[in-house]
Amino acid sequence: MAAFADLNVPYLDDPRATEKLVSKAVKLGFETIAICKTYRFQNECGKETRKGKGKGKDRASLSPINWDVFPAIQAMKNKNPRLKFYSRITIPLDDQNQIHPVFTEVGNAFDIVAVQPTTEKLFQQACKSLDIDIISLDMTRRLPFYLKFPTVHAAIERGVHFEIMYSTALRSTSERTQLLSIALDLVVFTKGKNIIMSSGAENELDFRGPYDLVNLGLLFNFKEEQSKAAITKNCRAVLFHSEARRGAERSVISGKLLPQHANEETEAITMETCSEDEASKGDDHQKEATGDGDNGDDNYEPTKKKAKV
Amino acid sequence: MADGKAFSTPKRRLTIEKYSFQDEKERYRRHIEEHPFNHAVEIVIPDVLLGNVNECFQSPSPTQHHCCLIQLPVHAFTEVEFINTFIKNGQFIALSWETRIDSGNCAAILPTGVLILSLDKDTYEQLGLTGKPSAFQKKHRFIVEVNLAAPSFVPGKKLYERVRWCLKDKLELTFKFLMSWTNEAGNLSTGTIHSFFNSYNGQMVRNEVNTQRAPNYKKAPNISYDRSSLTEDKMGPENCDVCDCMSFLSGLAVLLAELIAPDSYVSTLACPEPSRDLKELITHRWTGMITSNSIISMIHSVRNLIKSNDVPWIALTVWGFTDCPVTWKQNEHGHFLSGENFYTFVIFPNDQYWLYTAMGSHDIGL
Repeated sequence: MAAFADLNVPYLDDPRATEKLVSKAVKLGFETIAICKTYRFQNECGKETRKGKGKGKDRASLSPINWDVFPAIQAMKNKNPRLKFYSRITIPLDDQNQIHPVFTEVGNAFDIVAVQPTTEKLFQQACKSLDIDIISLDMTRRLPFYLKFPTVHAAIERGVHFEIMYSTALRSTSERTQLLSIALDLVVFTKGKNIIMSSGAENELDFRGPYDLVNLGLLFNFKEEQSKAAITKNCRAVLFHSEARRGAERSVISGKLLPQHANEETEAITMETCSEDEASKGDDHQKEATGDGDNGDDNYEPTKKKAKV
Repeated sequence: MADGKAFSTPKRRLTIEKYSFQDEKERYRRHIEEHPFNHAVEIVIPDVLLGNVNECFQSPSPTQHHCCLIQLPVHAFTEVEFINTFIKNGQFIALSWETRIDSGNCAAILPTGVLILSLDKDTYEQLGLTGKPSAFQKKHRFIVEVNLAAPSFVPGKKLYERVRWCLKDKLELTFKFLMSWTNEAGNLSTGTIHSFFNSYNGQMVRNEVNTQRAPNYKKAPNISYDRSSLTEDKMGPENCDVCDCMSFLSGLAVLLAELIAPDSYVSTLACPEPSRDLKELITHRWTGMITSNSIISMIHSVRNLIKSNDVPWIALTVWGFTDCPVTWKQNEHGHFLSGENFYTFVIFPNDQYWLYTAMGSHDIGL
């Protein structure tokens, strides 16, 4: 399985505090970490405000994460090359009109895009058509709509994942009850597939170690394997899905010339397999380097966005 | 939970054998040698004074032994010079350190000279060496085995060139390795490895020893080779059964720590009945990387100790590394919730012993 991942470490205003959270997660054994910004709408005035006065503030929450403000994270990365950091944005959706402008802005600025739909219609839209990676339901209070099998199934078909954010369960009894009931529902509707567990912890104490999470997953009615997959394999699938989403328009197959090998027959085969592999992994650098030449490449059809697990 | 949902306990396996050291087949020796990567050894001795114990474990103690911790690319092990010096002579073992078998890549070299790479899917696909899918994570982990000691594994042969090219030019896998080498004469000379790899930055790590006398806790269950029963139905009132003894030995650290009173809320562990009072209870624990050979010599000195003193039994427990790609023989080992693999010899005066072998769910085992 892939490395343990926590795809929701909140981005706090103080970079130091964020670093503390990240280092706690690393200490517990997580190797893939996504730092999450939450998008806040200026809800009263909607579009106009964003274009006019409120623009500056809005931009701030939308600007991609600047990794230079986290020297400690860079240091950790140098020390342990297996650590991987990603940026993520969570967009709470309340209104149909908001969707389009936000998505054009967010575009490719973040590695992972998550939405938090609050109405049934938006939930349906998120499952069926929106170009996103994660659907994160608000598990602190009752869901304002019922989950429906076809809708959830559509999301699974597209490779979109659902998120269970466990840190809210540690705060109060009522939130814990809510989280349990919603998570149990979610596991029933998804049959335990395409779910990720993440912390969303704003406090160091809210983090839990990976093996504790596997046990916690059993409470949500996961099977043992699924429970572990929720923090390993499925997170890996989310990352591949996001790669596919961002890189799909302009990706090409690229191969590098491998050094000469004595065994000629096998070389041809490996050459083929490894170039395929690199392309499906969607190595960023290669794409950017060759991205300009997209007019000439007809071989690759980015129609299939579902990430292979 | 309110609806009475039952959670199953993690799957694990425990086998118990009763045997004698005098048997010609020397099964104990095979059992120890087939488990090459040992992280810790603990000896529990009742009723012997500390002085006697220390004297007994002067010579075979692994305290003076070192293991070598070096960050190395895997292809360093395929150099001809290395194979001729270390793999083909004596016993060389190496294990990747600070790697996780369930979520990353691991590597190990067995005393037989087999290089085992346990790789996740991405790395396996990039590497280009054929392997077989793991038994526990079917499509997500692959095991590559290369016999470095094979006579055909020499420069010029297809396989050798292929392995070299994959590990060196294509994907340079690098791990921190814990290594130790026993030369042909049977002496541990890990220092040689250190000087062999002096171009890489390495360090020698000393095995640690920890002796505990329990000043207040002086109780042990009554057990005997013949008369302790295996099952729940007690044979005689004067002896504990075998499983109780196991739980006593494994929980001993907790009992000795005395942080928790027996039968408290946190732990219900207590010395199984019937028990008796002791003059002394000593535990001796070595941690680090301990070779099978030194465990065998420890077994011998335990047998001497038990002959020269009036001791009802002595227990010797050996723990393997939890993130090791193999446990016994060349059988795959995995890690689901825990990756423990350990065995305990309970040795009795007349050269008889019990052998407990325990492993987690992801372990092919013996």
